[in-house]
Amino acid sequence: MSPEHAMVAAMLLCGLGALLTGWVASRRTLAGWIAFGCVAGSSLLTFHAVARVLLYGPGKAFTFLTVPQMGFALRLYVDGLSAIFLGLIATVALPAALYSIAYLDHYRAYSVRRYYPNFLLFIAAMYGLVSTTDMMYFFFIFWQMMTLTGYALIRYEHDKPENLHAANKYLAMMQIACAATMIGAGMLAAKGVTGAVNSAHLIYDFDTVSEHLPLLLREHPIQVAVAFALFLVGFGIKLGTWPFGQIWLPDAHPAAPSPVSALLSGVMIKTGVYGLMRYFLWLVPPEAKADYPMAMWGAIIAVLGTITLFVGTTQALRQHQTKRLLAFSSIGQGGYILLGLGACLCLLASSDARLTNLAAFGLYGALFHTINHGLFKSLLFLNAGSILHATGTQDMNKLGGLMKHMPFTAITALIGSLSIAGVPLFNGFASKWCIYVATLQADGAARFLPICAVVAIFTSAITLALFMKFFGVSFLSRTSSLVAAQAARQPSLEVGWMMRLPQLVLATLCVGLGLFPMVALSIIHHALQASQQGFGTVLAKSTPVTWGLWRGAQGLGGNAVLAPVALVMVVGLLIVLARALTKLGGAQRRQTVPWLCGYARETYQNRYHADHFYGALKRYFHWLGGAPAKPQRPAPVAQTPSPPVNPA
Amino acid sequence: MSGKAIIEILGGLANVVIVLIVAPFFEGVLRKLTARIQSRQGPPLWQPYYDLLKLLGKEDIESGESPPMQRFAVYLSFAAIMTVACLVPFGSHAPANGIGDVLVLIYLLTLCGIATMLAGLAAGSTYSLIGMNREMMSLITLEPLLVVAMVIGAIHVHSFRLDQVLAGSVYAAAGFPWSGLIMLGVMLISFQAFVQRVPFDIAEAETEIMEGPLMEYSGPKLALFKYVQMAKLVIYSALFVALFIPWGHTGLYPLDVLIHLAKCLVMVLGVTWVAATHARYRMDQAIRYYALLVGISVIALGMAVYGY
Amino acid sequence: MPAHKIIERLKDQFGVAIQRADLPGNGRLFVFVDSAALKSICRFVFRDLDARYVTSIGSDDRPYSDSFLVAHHFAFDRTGLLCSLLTHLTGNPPKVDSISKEVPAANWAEREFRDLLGIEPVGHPYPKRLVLPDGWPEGKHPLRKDVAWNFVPEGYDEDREFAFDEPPEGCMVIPFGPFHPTLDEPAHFRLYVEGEMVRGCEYRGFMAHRGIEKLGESVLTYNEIPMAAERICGICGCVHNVAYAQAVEQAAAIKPPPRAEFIRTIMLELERLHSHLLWVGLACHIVGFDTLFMQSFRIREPLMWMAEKISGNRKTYALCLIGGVRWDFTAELKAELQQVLLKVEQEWRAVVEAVAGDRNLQKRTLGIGVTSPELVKNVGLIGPVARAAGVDIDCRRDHPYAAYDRVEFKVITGTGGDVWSRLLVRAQEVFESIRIIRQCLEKMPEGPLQLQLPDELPIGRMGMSSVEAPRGEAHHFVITGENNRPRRWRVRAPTYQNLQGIPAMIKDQQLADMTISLGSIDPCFSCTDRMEIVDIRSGKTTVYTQEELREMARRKVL
Repeated sequence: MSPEHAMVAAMLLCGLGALLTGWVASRRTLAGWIAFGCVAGSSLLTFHAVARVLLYGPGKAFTFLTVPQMGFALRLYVDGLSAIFLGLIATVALPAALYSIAYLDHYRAYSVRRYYPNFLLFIAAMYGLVSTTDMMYFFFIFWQMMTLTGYALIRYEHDKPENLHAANKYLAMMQIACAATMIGAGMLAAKGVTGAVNSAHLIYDFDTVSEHLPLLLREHPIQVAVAFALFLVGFGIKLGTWPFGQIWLPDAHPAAPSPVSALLSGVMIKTGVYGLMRYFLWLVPPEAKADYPMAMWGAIIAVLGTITLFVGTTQALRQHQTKRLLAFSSIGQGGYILLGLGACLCLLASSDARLTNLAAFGLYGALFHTINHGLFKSLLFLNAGSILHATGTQDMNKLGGLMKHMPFTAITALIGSLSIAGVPLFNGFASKWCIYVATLQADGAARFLPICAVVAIFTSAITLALFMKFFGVSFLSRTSSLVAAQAARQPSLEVGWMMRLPQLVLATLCVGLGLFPMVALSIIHHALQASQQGFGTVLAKSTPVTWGLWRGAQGLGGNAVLAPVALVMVVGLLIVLARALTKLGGAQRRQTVPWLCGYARETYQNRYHADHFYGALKRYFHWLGGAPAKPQRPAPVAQTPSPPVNPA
Repeated sequence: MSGKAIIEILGGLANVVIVLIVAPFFEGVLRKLTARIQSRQGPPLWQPYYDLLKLLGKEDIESGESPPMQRFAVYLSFAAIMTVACLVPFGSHAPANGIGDVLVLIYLLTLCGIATMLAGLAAGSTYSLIGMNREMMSLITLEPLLVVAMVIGAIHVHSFRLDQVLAGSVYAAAGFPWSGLIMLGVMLISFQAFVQRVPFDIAEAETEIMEGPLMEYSGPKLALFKYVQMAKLVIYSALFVALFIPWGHTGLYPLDVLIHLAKCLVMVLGVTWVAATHARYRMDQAIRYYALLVGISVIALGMAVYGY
Repeated sequence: MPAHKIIERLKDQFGVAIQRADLPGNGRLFVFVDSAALKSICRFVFRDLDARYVTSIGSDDRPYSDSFLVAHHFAFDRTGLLCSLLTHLTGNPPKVDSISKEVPAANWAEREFRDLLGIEPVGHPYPKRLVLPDGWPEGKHPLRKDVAWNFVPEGYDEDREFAFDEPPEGCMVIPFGPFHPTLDEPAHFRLYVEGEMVRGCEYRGFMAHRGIEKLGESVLTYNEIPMAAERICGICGCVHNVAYAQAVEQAAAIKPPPRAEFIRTIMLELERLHSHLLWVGLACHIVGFDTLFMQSFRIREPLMWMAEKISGNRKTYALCLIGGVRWDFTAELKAELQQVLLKVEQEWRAVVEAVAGDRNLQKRTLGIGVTSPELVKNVGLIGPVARAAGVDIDCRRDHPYAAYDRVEFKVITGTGGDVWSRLLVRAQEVFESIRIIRQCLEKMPEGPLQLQLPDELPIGRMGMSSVEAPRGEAHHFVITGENNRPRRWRVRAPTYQNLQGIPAMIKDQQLADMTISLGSIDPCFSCTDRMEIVDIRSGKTTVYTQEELREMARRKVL
């Protein structure tokens, strides 16, 4: 089966699943398993397509449906770049679907008829969006399919007015993005040109436009620039770039049920990355380089990325709602990807071999970070979902000491937190490392990039602060009154295996890619080899990074080294040594309560609030905005639907 | 396994041993000198060794909600700082090039802070959390200084390799090394903060929050944390020396080690002197101070990009 | 305003409510008033006559007048007058109108007589338990005359927890004390903190309340009490010793011989010297500046040795008896003291010069723990805390006692009202103290040390005495009684008032500044140098000398 056929099959399977789940929606668990089965099937098909593309190169574009008079064709093409995003969607959708089954018990008051069909169509739409070559009609269809189902999912808990508000904002922003992108595509339409693929008047087809673009660039540079600016805005809105992201993203992501948040944050906003990469790098043929103001676009994207990562992350610092914090940090992480992409564009503008290599390194970093963010952010949203499931709140001020009650979720959340914070040995570090290497050594016209990189490194420390707070307050600290009350009501707060397994899978992937970044790098390498179009051809030629099991990843001809396997051996040995040292004196262990100066007994009032974290620092970032969510209605224990006793 | 790998492993091992042996001694020197400045007799030079040994046998009290996390945090703290020891040059060039570059080194130093913060969070005491907060805030504002210092070197030598960057690379500019000299100044006046001594021992401020994150730790755990603090003093000194005072190599390994340690000792003496003559700053004052230095260092970075 | 004018104005204003006014003619005024008018009279005295609030005292007077007694003490610092407004309460349970709303400084004192005597301050804004332990049952009042000094009530529950207030919305609670590195005495502050900002606090203290007043009223005799009084405080013991003796002397109209007065002055100033040096050291330790901590202790040490040479002890000099002092100054001691003063002065001058320009220290103290003159007035702050805020009060000058009327000295005041000003005030006061001691050594007349006292002191007389301790005015009130002991003895240490200013000082400040703000009112510290080591096996007792101990400490023999 060709990759394109596999993708159509996957989409059809999802569609079929949507019908089926809508039909059996009264039996919630059955509907859930059917949905999971469909997602599993479509994921398998997708993996097949991805594997084929990566191993044997891309096939030919396949046209399924043509309406020649309108230039209307369902033409799919899966190349390396699409394969990466398809793979990511399939990888994240699978755990999210499994997680949904048990998680939706949380929403007994709402029918699953509005959940599973939308969930499946949402996934199908994303598959379509990253594999279609039609920049106009089918782009529109898939985009709207994704937007509307996403809208339904965000307003799933429709009793809460804030959710409706969030969903409406999401819908409005997505329509603006859609319009911007389509107007851009319209401006690039290959009118009056006949070429190899244009026999059917597919003037909005990617290949046609690409072929036509050099001419357009030469004759109407302003028009092309406006079109590209519209692409930047459109996909920027999707990706959550500053200043657009702040409008919809922090409201929409927390409103949706957690598995959907995982999909929204983990993969949906990545379609924006896909669009930007596809249009800015793959659309323009390298011959047109002289007319294509690549360095300028690169600089804009890189600076935009730097602002986004800084603003998004510092705004996240002010949040005390788990999912809202994660949503803001998604904006910030999107900034890293943009920085990598911008650096790539900037550096590619010069013809210097060393800089081209760095440019490829930047793109490796951007793609790698896209994958990583998809993995750890979905994981973190699932963690937040588990917390919500167990305690009924997203408010970190009311959380504390959960590690004792849900150790499994705690450990996976720690992995997620360390990954996103960019701690060596976890995947987030590997991709940030690529981006830093590429940007710090930038030269020529891209001399501002090292400054951007230092801002990014600074921001990664803020990310660390963010996730020390997220993890520390929820899972460590002291048990809060809410957690104590919940723990007293049920034998165990830990979620059941159907919710643990997805977290385990994602956490394993995070650690795996952290220890073996060569796997991801080699996938990206193969993907670039399989995307020979536009500047993809230039990028495919360079091999910025080499790898091996022990010597890890080496860039810049061995001048940048990251060898996690060797590193983990050293750290592991030293941990063993540290443990041995503590055993040396034969010290006795004793458990007690914290010291409170010897008079007052500990009460819940002594707990350090999430609100209070980093006060001295937050004061300096108030001007950036991003106010935390207003306090929720009082007495969350009494009001949330009582979580069911865990099946486990 | 190739010969190169064996040399890397041996070099890293040698560094760990050097740090483990020398760290308490440096602490001893610091205490003795502090006492002298304060007109006191002071403890014997090897008192820190005794302290560590004694602590190892003392009762190990765990007061947090998740003792396994408390234990893990201690081990991680020790492991992280000793891994850094493997990467930093002591005398000869940086030994373990194979496991990472300067970017890895920077993040490993962060990992050490993460361990302390996890320890504070796991202990759960209010004071620990205040301390952990302060630790995190200073980490955020301090890290860029070290990053810029190393990155300037990396830009000058077009490489992130440890043995190339940690060898006075800050002065290897194409033009006059303005950026290196600026960073030398910046790092000198912020060095105290990296080793967390007065006036920047804010996270542990004994008279305010009673050792902050470490408050709930005793016995062997405290011993390891103390060891890590002592090691930090040596390692940051070594890092500073390698970046900014690279001169005076003889090529003879044992002699070079001694010379390097002597330079580190000078740094320790400086730290002691500053610590003894200053009052502790408040967190917000420290942040403003660091912010100014970060601003200056970004200017230095700009100069480095243009070859100065 | 002279005393008779005050009486006149009171009579004009309140007429028959002013029942009786005693003017013993030594800067003291006792006005007996109707209990119903007490509140408005206090407001008049405090607000309209602008008197400074000193303290409030409750007393069980039932054996003598079948009523309870409440006295509010005010000071007219400009005219050197200490005024007591007294009223008899006959109800059961006794009730009196609370003056805390008009005179916020009376907050603690009223709660204290509520706890200890069961006199209900009606309309008190915060009638919470202050002195009695958490587990002490309600309705038992240890200071009443029908309660034995060693009375332990039934139902005393050691495990009972104190009922704390709720913290304000959004604040967490950080316990501070009783065991904290910067607290030298046990006290518990429950800080309401938002992040690192202190928004308020609740205080729970009196953890080491030893019932010394009760002992003095029921067990000890006139001349035993000075030794007990001295143990009230480990750092300004001599102050309480002298203040008590003076209060009794006032009541009995005894004037000690001049030489005794000079010796008292010298010892009080010596105490101030070592106390201020200790405080500077401690304050530096709190802000993490240990070098100055150590140095100021080093400079202080010769003073301690000197005190030991003079009195036999580094602290607790056992100086006063009623009507005189217990030991004399020899010529050698005088010469040696001069030497020590010279050395301390030189070394301290160097420290002050170094500190005055220290930006680093200023960063932690300028604008921290600020008190305004209004706060000083309302809460009744005293001593260096008040003087640093520009309020020029000093009992040594305003209500002269001992030999202070015969020496010249300057009252140091500041302007900022912050920790930095307090530091400067105390640093300068060291030089004034040295000046005073030098003048005393010069002017000290020859003569007896001790008056011959009558067999029995007059009964039912009242005396009060204010002594300027290093931390502010220490106030003692005595009603003489039978059995060679006072009927009522009330001590108000300076920290009693100054601590009440802490909540206002630390509000909306950073947590890091809280410790130094608290420290800046001057904590107390007890130090002993000599140990007695009992060998358990042989039962042999060895007493080591100072030199031996020092050697041992350095060589670590012990």
